[in-house]
Amino acid sequence: MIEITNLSKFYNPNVWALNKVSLNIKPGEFVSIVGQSGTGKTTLVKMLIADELPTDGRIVIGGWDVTSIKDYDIPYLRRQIGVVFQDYKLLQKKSVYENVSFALESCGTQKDRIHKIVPQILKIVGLQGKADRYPYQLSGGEQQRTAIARSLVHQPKLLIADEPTGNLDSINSREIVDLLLRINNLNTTVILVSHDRDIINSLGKRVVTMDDGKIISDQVVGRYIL
Amino acid sequence: MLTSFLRVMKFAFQGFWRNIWLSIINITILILTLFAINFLIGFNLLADNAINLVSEKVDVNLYFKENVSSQKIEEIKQKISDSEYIQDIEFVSSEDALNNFIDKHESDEYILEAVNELKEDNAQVFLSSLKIKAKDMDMYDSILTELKESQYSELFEIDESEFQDYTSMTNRLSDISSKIKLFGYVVSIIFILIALMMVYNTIKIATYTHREEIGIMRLVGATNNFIKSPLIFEIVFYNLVAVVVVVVLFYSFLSAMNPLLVKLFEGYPLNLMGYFNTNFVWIFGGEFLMMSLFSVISSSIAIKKFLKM
Repeated sequence: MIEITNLSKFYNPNVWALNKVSLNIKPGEFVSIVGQSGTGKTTLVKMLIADELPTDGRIVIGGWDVTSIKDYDIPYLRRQIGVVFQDYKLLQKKSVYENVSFALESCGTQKDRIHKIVPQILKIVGLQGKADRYPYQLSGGEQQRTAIARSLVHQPKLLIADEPTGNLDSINSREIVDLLLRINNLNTTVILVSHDRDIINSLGKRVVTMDDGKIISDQVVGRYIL
Repeated sequence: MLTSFLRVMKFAFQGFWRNIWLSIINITILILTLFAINFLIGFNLLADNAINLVSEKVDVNLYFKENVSSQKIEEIKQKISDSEYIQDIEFVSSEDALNNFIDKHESDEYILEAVNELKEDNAQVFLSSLKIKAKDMDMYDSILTELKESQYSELFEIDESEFQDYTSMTNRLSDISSKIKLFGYVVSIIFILIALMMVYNTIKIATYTHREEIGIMRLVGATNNFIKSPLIFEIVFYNLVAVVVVVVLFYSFLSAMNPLLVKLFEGYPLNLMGYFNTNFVWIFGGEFLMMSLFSVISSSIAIKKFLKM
């Protein structure tokens, strides 16, 4: 599914975000990438969605070489990858339904298809009763679920969650992680970037640990070792 | 395709209304720019017509001495006609000149009495002449030189006083018109530059205002064209509104000016409004297209810089 080979991002010869990172992720896997702040996790996420280019190395996602992708192909790659962030990135003036449908509208999806898909997705994330609410009327967990719903509208093969529980309390964090596990059970590959020790240790899934832009550990059933 | 287009239009209209004050300021600048350009077009037309009007009155007259026969004058006329600078030569016999004079002063009995007295004395009141018109105002100097150097120069006298008067008038007109045109060009260029800067900054402000939406659009896989298009169409709306307003304002201005112009160019077929009517599509359509083209280029640069496209 994902092949990362000798991926590096150098700002100058002595300063780097990533240094010869190699990683393979199989389809349907749930992989947690952990590490302290500033270890290159977010840079890796940005490179996976072609938001940043590496200095060296290669990323191939589903046969698509992301590191040499043409500008006009980037939007089509991004439709294959769902992404959620710590700060949710929701539009405050749009309701839950509108935030989710906006992702489809922006990609030219027909209205009747939008009306069909959005309620289904909202049901998956457990927000079917809150479609008309605005972000400020939702809890942090519900806002993150809205963001996850939006990331799922294109039915991506890969979902990347960059610190999705960073702004949430433990109960909401647990709900979000359970939702990610459910999505993974629907055969979507999930990459969870986090430094939440308790969450990672409770998952019993593969854990890749990063430090100073390098992978220092890759355990099939891992724990937070830092 | 149609769905995307309609959505682009919807987002463009939303941007237009959400930043209505910014839209009004931009449209005002565009209106001033277009009005200045149209004023310049109208002024050019007026200036050219004024110069033509004066130029048409210019001619050079050759007055032949009394002893020069009609056959000789005809021969000289044929010879002069070969000149590449001359458009028309008219022979005016002494009798024709006298009749013209009498016709012109038929109500002035003192003049008519004086003419009759001269006729009774068998004096030749007027000399036979050739009235020469050049193809172009600039060619009179060459014609005068040719005539002065001609082998027949002993047989006639050149009256270039009208030519000198009108030349000085057309020169003054050209001079004033050039200065006003230069002023018009400078004003138009300043307005165009201000309009371009406004458009550039509007796009930057619009991009900044919509940065969250744009960020999400990029994240969820919207194409660059879909992200850019609403912002560009928003600017095209500005141009469309500005052109419509300018059409209304400029035609009102022309209607107000028309009686004055008709009086000023009395007897001369000048129709400024007719000119704008005939060339409506070229002038206003062209302005809309040019302004839109400038806007699209300027906004594309602004968006590209902001979105790192």
